[in-house]
Amino acid sequence: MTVADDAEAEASVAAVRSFIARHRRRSWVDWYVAGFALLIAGIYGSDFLATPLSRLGRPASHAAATHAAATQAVAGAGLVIGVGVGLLLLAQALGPLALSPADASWLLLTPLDRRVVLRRAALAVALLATVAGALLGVLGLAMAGPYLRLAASGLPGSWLFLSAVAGAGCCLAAAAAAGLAQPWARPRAVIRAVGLAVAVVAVGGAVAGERLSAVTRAVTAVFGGCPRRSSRRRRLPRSRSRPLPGCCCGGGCPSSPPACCGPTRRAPAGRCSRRSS
Amino acid sequence: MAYGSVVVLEDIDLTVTAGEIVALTGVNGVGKSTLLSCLAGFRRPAEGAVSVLGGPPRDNAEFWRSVAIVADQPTWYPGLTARELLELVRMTHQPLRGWCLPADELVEIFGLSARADASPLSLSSGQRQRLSLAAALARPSRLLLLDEPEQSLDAGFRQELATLLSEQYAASGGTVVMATHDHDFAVTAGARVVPLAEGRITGDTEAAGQTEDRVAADDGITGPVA
Repeated sequence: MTVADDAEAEASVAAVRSFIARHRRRSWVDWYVAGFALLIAGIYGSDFLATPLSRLGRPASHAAATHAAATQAVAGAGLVIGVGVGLLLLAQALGPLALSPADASWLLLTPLDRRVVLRRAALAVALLATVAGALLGVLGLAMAGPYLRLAASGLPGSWLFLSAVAGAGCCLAAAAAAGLAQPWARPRAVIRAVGLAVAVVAVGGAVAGERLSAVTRAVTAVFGGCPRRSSRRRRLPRSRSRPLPGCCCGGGCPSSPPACCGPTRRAPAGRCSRRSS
Repeated sequence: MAYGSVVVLEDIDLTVTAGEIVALTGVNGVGKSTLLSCLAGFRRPAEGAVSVLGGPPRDNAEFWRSVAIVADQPTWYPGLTARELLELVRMTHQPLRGWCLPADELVEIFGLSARADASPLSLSSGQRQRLSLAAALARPSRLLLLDEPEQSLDAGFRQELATLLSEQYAASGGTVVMATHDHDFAVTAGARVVPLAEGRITGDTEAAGQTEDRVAADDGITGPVA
């Protein structure tokens, strides 16, 4: 039997972490599994993001103002919002702070300063939320980018930055809200319900935009992708601004013919050709 | 205490004094582990109040300095040996004020000498259970919550553990509340047996060592479940 003297000082979390780091053995299997998981995630992630992100590098094209591009933009926005809400719900389901089971068992339920024990996990979550949010913001811009580019010239640099910052800010705020709402079941339920409602509206809008061209046209008008009073249109002679037979946007954008309905040559049905001059 | 609409525990009125050993018995699913989790503060009762060490269970440093838990599934810190895990537990609970055993002594008492420097992954289930119990005694505590501590242990070591709990831990003022299916273990530890059935306390014996006749009579109600 031992009654330890009480001359010892309280252990600091740093000392405990240092003890674990000094003694913990990791086998090559651990490193292999971690590396392989990162590799697979990188491959699938880059493959998933390659197509939408490649839109950011494309030059503005009149084809972007077509019905198809507008539908794609709405669907893309729906997808991005859906992913964001999914991440939030996942964070709520798994807990806002990802502490390893070992740390939860052996460090959390101890007299150690809990704030310090959780600090590393909180920083990791904040970093992940920032990266994921910035990526979602850029992804959202990439989805709608070519379409919006007609309405505003000089899009990429500042828009890219703003989209990333806005996405990161939103995700960080959502992660913080999820963390702060942990002790209260009702606010958590409210956040869940609002998130689900936003996702439903976003996905519903995307599906409706796919099915109903009127919805897409309305969105088009709001974002100004098919400018009603564009300077280009005003400069053009009235007779030339009429949709030409065979022009792809003749039926897709009747209320506000986009740029491709300017000086065009007659083209086979479904195709559009701009005069090179 | 309820899980949604399912009431698990009802009309529980139980007072445990300092230095006492209480054994909760009953068939599987009767609510023994749920009652322990209420005492640890992991679950809140739908009605009524739980008071532990002078107040409701608190999720703070003071509470976790006083309360030690051994869950029904042994856990360990990955990458650390058995001896290092015990040292880690002692380190996280410094300063060590009160009764506890040093790592080397625990290794010996719990029969882990030959495997003290091995990873818990390579230990047998019984050895892992011994390690979990040793970790609970490597730091001082006033209340020890044990969920089926006897599982995976051989009969001989069960007796040793019961003796250790009663003659050392409880004798130094520590309180033990455990869920168990082993009446002999409870009797050896001198525990007050609290049988549960259908979510209620169906009898409450005094210290088993003092009233073996009553414990024997209660066997018909709660009975040791294999």
